[in-house]
Amino acid sequence: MPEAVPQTHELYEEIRAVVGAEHVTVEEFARRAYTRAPFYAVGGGGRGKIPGIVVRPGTTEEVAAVVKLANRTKTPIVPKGGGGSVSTFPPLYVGDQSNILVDTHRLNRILDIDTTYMTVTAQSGVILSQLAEEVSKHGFHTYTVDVPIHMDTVGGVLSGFLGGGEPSDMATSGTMNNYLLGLKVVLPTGDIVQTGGGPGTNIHQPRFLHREAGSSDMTGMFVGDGGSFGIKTEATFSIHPYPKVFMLGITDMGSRENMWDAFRELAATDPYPYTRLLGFHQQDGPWYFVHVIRAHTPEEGELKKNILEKICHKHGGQPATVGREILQIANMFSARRLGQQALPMGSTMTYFGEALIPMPQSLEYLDDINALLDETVGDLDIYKRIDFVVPYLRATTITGILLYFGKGTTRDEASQRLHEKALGGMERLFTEKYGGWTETHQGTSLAHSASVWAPSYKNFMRTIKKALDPNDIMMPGLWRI
Amino acid sequence: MLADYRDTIYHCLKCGACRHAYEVYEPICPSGMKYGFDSHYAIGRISLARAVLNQEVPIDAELMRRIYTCTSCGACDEQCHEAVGVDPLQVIEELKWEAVESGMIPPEVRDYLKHMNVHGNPYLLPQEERGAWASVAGVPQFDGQEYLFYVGDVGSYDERGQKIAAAVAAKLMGCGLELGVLGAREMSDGNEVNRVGERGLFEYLAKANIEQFDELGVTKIITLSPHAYHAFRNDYPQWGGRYEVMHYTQALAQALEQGKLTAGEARDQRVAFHDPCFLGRHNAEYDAPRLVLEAVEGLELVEMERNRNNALCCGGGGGNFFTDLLGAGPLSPSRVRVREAVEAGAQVIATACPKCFNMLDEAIKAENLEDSLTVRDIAQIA
Repeated sequence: MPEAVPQTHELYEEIRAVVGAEHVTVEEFARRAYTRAPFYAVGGGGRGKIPGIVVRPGTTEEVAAVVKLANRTKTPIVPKGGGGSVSTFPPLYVGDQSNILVDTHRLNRILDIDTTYMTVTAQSGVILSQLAEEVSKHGFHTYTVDVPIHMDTVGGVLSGFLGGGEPSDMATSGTMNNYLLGLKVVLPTGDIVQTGGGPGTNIHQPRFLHREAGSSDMTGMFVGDGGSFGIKTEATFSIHPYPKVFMLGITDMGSRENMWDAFRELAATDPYPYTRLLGFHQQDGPWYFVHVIRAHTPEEGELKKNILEKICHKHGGQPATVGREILQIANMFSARRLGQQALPMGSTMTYFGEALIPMPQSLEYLDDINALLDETVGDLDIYKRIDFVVPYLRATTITGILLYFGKGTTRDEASQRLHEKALGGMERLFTEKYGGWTETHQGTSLAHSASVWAPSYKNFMRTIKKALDPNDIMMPGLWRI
Repeated sequence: MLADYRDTIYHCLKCGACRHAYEVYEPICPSGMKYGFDSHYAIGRISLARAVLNQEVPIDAELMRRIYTCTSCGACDEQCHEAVGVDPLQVIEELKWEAVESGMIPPEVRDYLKHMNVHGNPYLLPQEERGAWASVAGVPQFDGQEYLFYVGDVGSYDERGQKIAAAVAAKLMGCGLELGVLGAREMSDGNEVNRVGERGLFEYLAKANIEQFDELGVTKIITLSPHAYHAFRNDYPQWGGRYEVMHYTQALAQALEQGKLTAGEARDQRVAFHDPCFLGRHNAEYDAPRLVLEAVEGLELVEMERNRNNALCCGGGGGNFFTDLLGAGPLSPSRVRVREAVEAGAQVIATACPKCFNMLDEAIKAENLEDSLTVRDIAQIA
């Protein structure tokens, strides 16, 4: 029997008065369309709670007014950016059926690009590809996530783990968080605050140049908060001149030992000869490196390439001639679009156990999640599985398995099994051994990350949350504190 | 049946690539752009299709009112092919078909289909008036000429459409092409009927057209409308209707190449071409109209930011030209489109579809741009 869904919301009339009738809905079909999470995550693809009302505010002030209304009735709020939370979009488990889902897509204006101060200020609903494109028109570059750049929003990635996913130059750049200079945030009380050392915080600063406003780095407090400390409505980033030379290469490293020896030496080389490095292998195949080199001149590029090739060669690497399949796999990590088109129709993909892991533990972790995969979903129709390890700055890697299910396993079946068995096993791995980190946006892993907090830290976080959100309306339960 | 598309529905990653044009990073879904909620984008519609498939929600007129704001423009398919490899439009149109089968369609769609059933056209006008424009314009009836010039509903009954039909016919005949129209004998091509999901009526119309074409010895067809071009080219062959089909811009481009078209002059006009979805995205014809325009002396062809495979739909496809379920307002795609033309520096927005022409013409008025922008059909320029 179809589930009965309420068609009214106690705040509808008041929210409508704030944003206008065309930007708010309690209509069932509109709300239902927000309940599916992206699949490409363990436990994703399932159906979550149907929000009670969906609102699309167009200004910071409208967001603030909606939040104030929610405080009056203590109604949970779920802010939504692109909806791409890798480990399950929060409406799947946050709040209840009265939830106010704040869809931030109308906050879609780039407010200022300043090539003198080298900053860009954008509203939080701006899609990252739009941000990158607009900045590039001025001859500059922003460090944003690479995949999925066409769906992630500024506010969404900043709310996620590390303040961003994997940018194309992640080996050297880190995430967007590293380029963030200030935020405008609607706090859970409905008050508006501007962070960063610029207008709104420092009366003498005409532009944002740094994060500190002569106080603690309060901008950082909102990074990776999963939206539970407030709703970001504007962000200012530094923008950068971009090296014009781009070189891509693939090296066949043969064995895992060869790959790892070269990997560690490359990561210990300063400055890095590359901006991105990806090690991967498919089942029993050889390990490959895909590298990206950026340089200001061809000579600089060649020099970096020589350093990189010398290290790879020292550890048994050979320039690779690879077929379409390997290139498609490589594209999965470097293309700006998801690579599901490489799969037979009806099949699906997921990132299994993709996590931020200290480099000394990376291979052990890879073995652990492979064993977990075999134990939990290994009997399903698996079309392809690819181990990968990617350096993130100096001594950390993003490690995981790119997992493709064949047509013999339906998405519901895969989702259910992953959710019931693999997710629990993964949580155990993190909570008991690796420290609760998974590379993600603001999904479930924020919850299990919190599960490894020390009591004193948990108490600290609870105190902050309570101070900011006395009615516990903003993403309630996200951290399970 | 929707169940036949289970794999497609489940292949959707919910990545949202269907919202924006990949290369230009601009909104690309007409209904999503206007309404904003996920349920008006392919991403949300696939979710709703999945809910229907799993019997979580019934198909009803309210659900379908949302689904029918889709203009079948194919922009979501274009984006998704790059990203995931799904054809969301197939799923959306399958939902429409299921709605028609179950009678759960919005009144606007019901009325449109009723008019098509009773009158054979959406204008509620007599069949005898279908070719009236041709008599006035001096276009001969089809009597074994090399080409059938197929005009369609809008070109036959709509005042602006009739003017375009006359201009196209004159241009084609000026190139020395022997053609005739069916006039009062012409029947709807049924493309829009098909797009709103009434496949039974579409099959009836297609078979009736094929029977008549075959009886009259039609082998080559030039269409006024990209919608008819699409139906004849892609759908009719399944019932044995195999003809050499050209859209008129293709015929003009061919004539230009053969030296039979002497393109006119334009006095320092900057013209932006609006790609009709059923000529461009659905049939990959982007060059012919531009070749014809570029041949016009004094004409500077400029491109809008969203062009070719990333062109923004005018909002008139998928039956919306007649049902108007997408509705008006500043964010209606036709109004966004004319503003985009102005931003591109165009003085004229050219198109090659009578539906697009009407939509854009109305949008220019709504935007108060009459002094700076006009819409012209290619045949009225070349």
